[in-house]
Formats: sequence, structure tokens, C-alpha cells
Amino acid sequence: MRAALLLVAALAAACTSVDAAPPVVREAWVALPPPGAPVTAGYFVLDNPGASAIELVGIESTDFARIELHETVMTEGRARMQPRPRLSVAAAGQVEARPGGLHLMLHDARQPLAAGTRIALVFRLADGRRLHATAEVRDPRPTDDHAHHH
Amino acid sequence: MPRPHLLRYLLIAAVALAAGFALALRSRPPAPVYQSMTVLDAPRALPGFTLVTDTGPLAAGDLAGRWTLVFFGFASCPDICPTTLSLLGQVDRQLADLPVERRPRVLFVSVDPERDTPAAVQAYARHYGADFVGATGSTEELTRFAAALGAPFAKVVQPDGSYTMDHSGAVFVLDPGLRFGAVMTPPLVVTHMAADLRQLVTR
Repeated sequence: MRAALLLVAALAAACTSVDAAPPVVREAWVALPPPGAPVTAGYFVLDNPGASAIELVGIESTDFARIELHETVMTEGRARMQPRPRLSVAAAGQVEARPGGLHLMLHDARQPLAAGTRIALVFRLADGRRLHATAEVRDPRPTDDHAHHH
Repeated sequence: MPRPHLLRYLLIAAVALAAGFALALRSRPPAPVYQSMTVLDAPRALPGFTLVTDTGPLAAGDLAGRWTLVFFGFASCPDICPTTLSLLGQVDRQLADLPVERRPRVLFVSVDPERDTPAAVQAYARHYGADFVGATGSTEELTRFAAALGAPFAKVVQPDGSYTMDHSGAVFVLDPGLRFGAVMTPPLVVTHMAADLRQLVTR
């Protein structure tokens, strides 16, 4: 009986430790930019399974001179790029950066980007933690396979 | 006695039927239903304007004879411009079977002539479609063209001293007679745009 109680306590402890699960960046990708474009966009999902809110305060990569978090905001039909220097994610929350909304603005690639290559990104949180993610460079254009609908 | 009644009913029925036919003949086919497009009741003639492309000036008259899809943007726009041009590239492929006089051609207009050379805009546009045309122009000409389409743009200086451009998120449809006839507004969906355009150019 005592052993069983201990086991239950141990399981409960294991479960609460899930609460302390670290935030994760997933599904990160960088759009292959048109030739000559000085900037391109990156997209990702940031999961915060933890019990307290987190705040994203910066993104870095050795492959780019500078990375900012921006949001495309559509007001009265007009698209405006709004810098988002800080982004908070609620406890047990999630933020998605997708085309046409929240996105990374990546300035001046140090090397020409090619589809399929991988970019190492570091997401800095206000509490000092650093989240590592790998973003694949993807060509958002349709492939020729999809061209022949008719 | 029942006979005259029957005749009267038959007469009424015949009259009703004839009236129905007359109404059906008078009324036009049902108005087309568009999913992502607003078609102007009266297409608007465009004022004269001259933009600049890699290969020389692009005057309003150069767009006559073909359907044109106009999108305003700039090359340092990482999200909405590539996203929209990519969608238009997919629409273009879905309409590839249309004869050239009906197949819309995409015109990407940079509202950032300070940074975007005509060659850069052309390269940017062509990245998304082999027939895409890229153009820019003087601020006066751009303003005249954009104003005619109800597509204001503005330079917005950021706290760090750099600047970005606010611009319309819509795609404007010009008919072969150089009139502004329809507009597609976000959220832009490829299948909706392709179906709407096909309906518009073949009606």
C-alpha cells in the first residue's frame, strides 16, 4: 500500500514536471526570396506548454545580418508592417507566424539562399532562455507538378 | 354548366403561363456570383499615366488589349508581397488554358522607386510568373495611377530610421479597354480568384 502511494506520488510529480516543459519552436521555415530582394520572411510556431507566460524578445542567426519580428496588419484594405519587438505567449499558449500575418523579417542573408538549405535560428526569451530551431529554406511558388490542372 | 368554368380556368392558366414566359424572356441570365471579387457596377476609365519598366516606359495605352491584374508593393516587403505574388502565380497557372486576349497578365507596381530600380522590380515580378511585368515610376505618376484605383500608399519611417511602405493589399482588375472593372481583396484564395477571373473574362 505504501509502495503504491509512493508510486502515485511519483507519477503526480512526473505529471507536474510536464508543466515545466520548455517552450518549443517548430515548423520554422524561411521563404526563398525573389532575386535581389534584400529581405525575406520566416515563419514558425512557438509553443509554450509551461505554466507561466513567456516573452520573445529577439531572434538571431549567423546567416543574417539582422532579424526582426513583424506583423502584416491589414487596415481598410491597406497592408502595413508593424514591428513587434516583444511577443508574449500565454501559459499553455501558442503563437503561429504564418504568411500574411506575424513573420520574421530577415535582413541581408550572408550567403545567397537556396531552397532546401537549413538556417539555424535562436529565439531569445525575456527570462534569458534561448530556444534553438532549424528553419528550412522553402520556395513558396507552385512546382511544375501542380501547373497542369487542365 | 361545368364546361364554361373549365374554360375559364384554362384561360387563366394560359394567361399565367404566357406571363411567366414573358417574364423569363425579359429577365437576363442570373447575375454571376463572385467569391473573392467585387465587380464595379460601372467600370472606371483610367487617367493617363506612364510607369517605368526595365525595357522602357509603360504608358497606360500599353496595357490595352489584355486583362491586367495590378498589385502594388515593393521589393523590401518580405511577407505580403511575396505571398500575394506567389498566389497570383498559382492563379496564372490555373488560367493557362485561356487564350491570350482573355488570360490576365500580372503587373507588379513598386511604390518604392527610391530603392527599387525598374530592373529589380522586373526580376522580382518575373520570379513568380514568366509573363509577370514589374514597373515603378515617379512618385507623381505612381500616385496618379494608384489614386485612380483607390489604392493609396505611404512611406512610413520606422523608429530605427529605416522606412517601410504602406500599400494596398488588394489586386485590381483592368479590362482590355483600360478600365478599372473589379477588385479582389484579402483574404485572397487561389481557387476563388481563378474561378472569379475565369467568369469575368469569359462572360
